[in-house]
Amino acid sequence: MTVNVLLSIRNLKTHFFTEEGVVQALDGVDLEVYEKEIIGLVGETGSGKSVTALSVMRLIPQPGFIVDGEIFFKGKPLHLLSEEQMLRIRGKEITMIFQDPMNALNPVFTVGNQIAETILLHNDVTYKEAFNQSIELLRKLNIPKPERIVNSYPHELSGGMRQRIQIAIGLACQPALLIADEPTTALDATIEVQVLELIKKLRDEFNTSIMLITHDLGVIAEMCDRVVVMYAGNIVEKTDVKTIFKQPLHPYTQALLEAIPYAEKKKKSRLTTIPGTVPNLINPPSGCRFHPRCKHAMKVCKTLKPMLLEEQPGHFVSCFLYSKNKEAAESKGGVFEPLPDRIIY
Amino acid sequence: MADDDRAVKNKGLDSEVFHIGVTDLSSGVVERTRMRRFLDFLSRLKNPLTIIGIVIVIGLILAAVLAPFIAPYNPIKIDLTSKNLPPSLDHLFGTDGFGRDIFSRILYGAQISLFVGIVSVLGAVVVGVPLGIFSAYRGGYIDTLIMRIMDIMLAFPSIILAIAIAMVIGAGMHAVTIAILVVSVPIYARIARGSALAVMQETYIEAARAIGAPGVRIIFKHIFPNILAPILVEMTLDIGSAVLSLAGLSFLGLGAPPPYTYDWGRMISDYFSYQAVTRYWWQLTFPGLAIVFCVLGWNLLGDGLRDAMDPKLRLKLSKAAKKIIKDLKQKQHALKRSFKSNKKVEVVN
Amino acid sequence: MTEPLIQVKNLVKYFPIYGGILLKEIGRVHAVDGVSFEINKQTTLGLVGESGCGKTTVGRCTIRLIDPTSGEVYYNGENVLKFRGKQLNQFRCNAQIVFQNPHASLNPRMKIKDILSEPIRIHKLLPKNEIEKRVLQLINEVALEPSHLLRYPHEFSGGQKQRIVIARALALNPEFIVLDEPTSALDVSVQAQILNLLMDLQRKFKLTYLFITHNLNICRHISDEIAVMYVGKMVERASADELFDEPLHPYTQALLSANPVPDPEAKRSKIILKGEVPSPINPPSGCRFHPRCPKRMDICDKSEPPYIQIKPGHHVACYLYSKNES
Repeated sequence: MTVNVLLSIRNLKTHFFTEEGVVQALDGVDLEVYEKEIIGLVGETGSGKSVTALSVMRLIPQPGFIVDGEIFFKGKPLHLLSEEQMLRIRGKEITMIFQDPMNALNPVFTVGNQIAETILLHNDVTYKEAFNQSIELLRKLNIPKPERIVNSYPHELSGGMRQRIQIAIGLACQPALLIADEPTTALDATIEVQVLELIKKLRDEFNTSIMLITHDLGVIAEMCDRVVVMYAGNIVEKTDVKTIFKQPLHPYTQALLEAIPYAEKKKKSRLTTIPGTVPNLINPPSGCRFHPRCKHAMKVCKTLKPMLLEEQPGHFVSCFLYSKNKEAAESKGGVFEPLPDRIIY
Repeated sequence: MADDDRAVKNKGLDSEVFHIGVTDLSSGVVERTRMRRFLDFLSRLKNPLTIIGIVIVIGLILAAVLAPFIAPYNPIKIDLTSKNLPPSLDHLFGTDGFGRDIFSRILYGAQISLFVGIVSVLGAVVVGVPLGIFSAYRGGYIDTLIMRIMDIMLAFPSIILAIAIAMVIGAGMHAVTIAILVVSVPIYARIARGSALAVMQETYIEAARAIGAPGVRIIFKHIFPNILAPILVEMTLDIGSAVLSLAGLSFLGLGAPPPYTYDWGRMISDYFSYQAVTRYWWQLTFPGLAIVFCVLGWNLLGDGLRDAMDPKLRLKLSKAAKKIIKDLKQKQHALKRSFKSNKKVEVVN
Repeated sequence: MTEPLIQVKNLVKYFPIYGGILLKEIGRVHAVDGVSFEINKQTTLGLVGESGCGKTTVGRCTIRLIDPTSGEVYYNGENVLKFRGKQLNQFRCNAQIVFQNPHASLNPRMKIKDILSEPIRIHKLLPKNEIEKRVLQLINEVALEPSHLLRYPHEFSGGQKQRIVIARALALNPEFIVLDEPTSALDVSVQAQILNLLMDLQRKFKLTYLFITHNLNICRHISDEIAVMYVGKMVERASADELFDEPLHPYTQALLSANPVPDPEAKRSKIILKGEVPSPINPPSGCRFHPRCPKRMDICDKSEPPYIQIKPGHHVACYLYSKNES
C-alpha cells in the first residue's frame, strides 16, 4: 500500500509580533498529512495547534507571520503563494471548520444559499444547479429533511445542526484536506457523538484527509489514525494512535495521559498533575521547552533543544531520554545529569 | 495581510487572536506595575492627531490658568485711542471697536469656556451616571420610568431650556451651565446604563451577590469602576460640544453678563457687523478660530482616548514584522517570475 | 448514619419570556421542573447533564442566588427560602459558589488582596488588623504566593484565577460549596491541579460539594453520588460507581456510551441518539426523553414517569422500572 503525502510542513515557525514582544507561537513544526487519514493535533492552550492550522490556511491574524519554514500542499508552496492564489485553494482544496458554528455562518443568508455560494465560487455551474447540489450534499451527510433545512437561517438551527452545516460548506467542493478546529468542543455529549460519527464517515465517502484539532484525548482515541502532541509551539511526539496511548514516550505525553480522570482510575484519588503553568512564549525556556515542568529534566535539556527523531519505527519523539537524540546531544557535549533544581513529583 | 486579518475576524476568531497573542501565553505572572501600565497607555496615545489634541487642550488650560500673568492688556479696559487696530506686534490679534486687545480677551475667554465646559460635564456625570447604573441595576418598571424621563429630556433643545432657565434664575453663566448640564444628563445616563448592563452580565457581579455584598457596594465597587472608560471618553468629547453650545448661547445673548464680555461666543456676537465682515476681519476670525480649536482639541483627545482604551485597536506593527512582510512579498515575486519562466520550483517531498 | 446537609424538595424554576409591544409574558423557560435531592454532610453530589438541562439553575437556587418559582430548599433542616436579613447573611457565609469561567469571576479593577478580604469585610467576621493574616492564610491554602496579593486578576492564568475564586469562596468558612463547572474552562493539566485542590480542601475543611459538570469522567472521579438531569428533570440518581456500572435510565446509558474514553482499543457499542435536545420552552409531553428514547413505550408520551427509588440509594424516573406498569 502506498501512502501519498498530501500536506507536508517543514520547520514551520510562526511568530506574533505583539507590543509586549515576539511570541514564538510555533518553533519549528514538522509534520505531514497523508491521503485519507485522520490526524489529530492535541495540546493545551497556547501549544500552537490552532496556529499550525491557521498557518496552513494562511489565515494567521495580524501581527502574526510565518517567519521560517515551508508548507507544501500537493507540491504547491503554500507559504509563498499570493493572496489571490490562496483564495483558489481555500474552500476548494483545503477547508477549515471552527469551534463556534454560530459565528462561522452568516446570519442573514439561508443555509442553502451559503452552501451554494461556496459551490458557485469554485465551480462553473448555475445557481440553481449549485442549490440542488447543496441539497444532495446534505442528504449525503444524513441530515434529516434537507429540503427544509436549506431554506432555514442559521439561528433557526441547533448547535449540532449548525456544526453539520459548517461541515457541509467545508465539503461543498470536495476538498482534499479538511481542518477541524475543536469541532465538537461547544457541543453536548450526545450531539458530539453524532458529529464525530459524521466526520468519520466523510473520510470514507469523500476521501478527505482530516486534521482534527482538539484538547480532548478521548476524541483523539476514538477518531484518529495518527496523533501529534504539541507543547509550547513544538511537536513533542508523533505516532499512531494506539502507541500514543499504550506506550507514550515523551514525559509530557505521559503526564498528560495521567492527568485525565477516567473510569478506570481509583475514585477520589489524587490525580497526577503537571506542576507549573504553560510557559510564556515571549520568553520561552531554553533548550527543551518542557524542561522546567519535567520530572526527568537533565542538564542537557536546559542547554540543547531536542529534535523530533524517529526513535522507534513510525514513532517520533523529541526528548533526550531516547537514543537518537541522546547520540546527537552527546556529539555536541550535552551533560546527562539530572537537573539539580528539577521538580520531583 | 490586512484582508487576511479581516477574514479571520469574520470567522469569529477574535478570541483565538487573544489566545495566541496576549492572554494565555503571558500566563506566568508577568511583572507589570501600575507605572508600567500607565506608560503603556501613554504610548498608545502616540497617534499624531491625538498629540495635536493633547497639545491644544494643554495650551487651553495653560491659557486659562495663566491669563492674568501672560495677557499683555486688561481684557475689559477701554482704550479709544487704539480702536480697530489690525494685528501687529503690539496687538497680536488686533483690537476691537473699543480698543480692547483681542489676544488678551481670547486668553481670558478660555477661562469661561473651560469653566462652563468642565463644570457642566462634571455635573452631568455626577447626576447621570448614578441614575444610569441604578436604572440598570434595578431593572423593571423603575428602569423603564427613568429611561423614558431621560428620553423626554433628550427631546429638549438646549437653547430653549437655557432661555427657560435664564427666565427663572436670570441670564448668565449659571443659567448656561445648568442648561448644558441638564441637556447632557440623559447622554450619561444612557451610556452608564448600557455599560452597566454589559458589566452586570459578568460573573463577578454574581460572585459579589454570592458573598452577600449589598446593592450599594455592588454598584460603587463592582459596576462603577468597570464602566469608567467609556464615560471618560464621552466626557472629553462632551467638553468640546459644551464649549460649542456655550458659544451658541452667548451669541444669542444668553451667555455671560458684563463684565465677562470676553466670552468667545459673545465676542463674535458683539463684533458682528457689516464693518467687521468687510474691514475688521480679525475681530471675527480670531474668536471663531479659538472656538474651532477648542472643540477640535477636545474631540481629538477624546477620539485618541477611545482608541487607546479599545483593546481591539491595539495593533501596531513592529519593525521586524514590517521587514517580514517585505521579505515575503519579494519571495512571492520571485516565485511568480520563476513560474513565468517555466522553471520548476523545488519541491521538498 | 450521616444526615443530609442540603435537602431540595420539588424545586421548580420558570423564567418568563416577554415579547410583543406590551412586553407581556408570552412563554416560559421550564429550566427546572420538580427536582428533589439531598446531599449528605461532607460528601459530593455530582450533577450531570447537557447544556440547557437546568443544572446551573439548580445550583443557583440551592444557595439562593436566584429564588425558585416553587419548592423548598433545606439547609441543616431550616428552610433557606424563608431566610431574611441576618439569617440570609449567615447563610451566605455557609454556602458559597465557584463559577465556570475564572476570567469573568474576578473584578478586573480590584487587587487580589481586596478580592479576598471583601467577603470578610462585608460580614465583619474579623477585626481589621486580623484580616491581613486571614488573607495570607487563604492564599496559602490554595497554593499561591503572598506576593500575588498585590496584583490584578489579568496578570494571572486561568488556573491561578480559579484558585483565587476558590480562596474567595473559602474566606467565609463555608460548609457547602456549589462548584459550577469549575474546571471546564481549564487545560487538562491545570484541571487536574484544581480537582486535587478541591478534594484536599474537602477533606481539610469538611466541606460538602454540589459539583455541576458535563464531563462524566471528572464527575465520577470526584463525586460520591451522581444525579443526571435532562431538560429540567432529574432522571436518575445513584452512587457514582453504581451509576457507571449499572445505569438504568436509557438517557444515562446513552450519555455514558457517548463519553469519549482515552483508549483507542475500547471498542464499545455506542448508543447514538437521534435528534436534538428539546427546548425547555416547550418540553415534550410525558417523559421528556421519549422522542429520542430507543426503548420508548406507548405510555411514555402520555404521562410523566414517577421518580422513584428502585434499589437502596438508586432513584430513577422511567416506566421501564416502575412497578405499577400497566
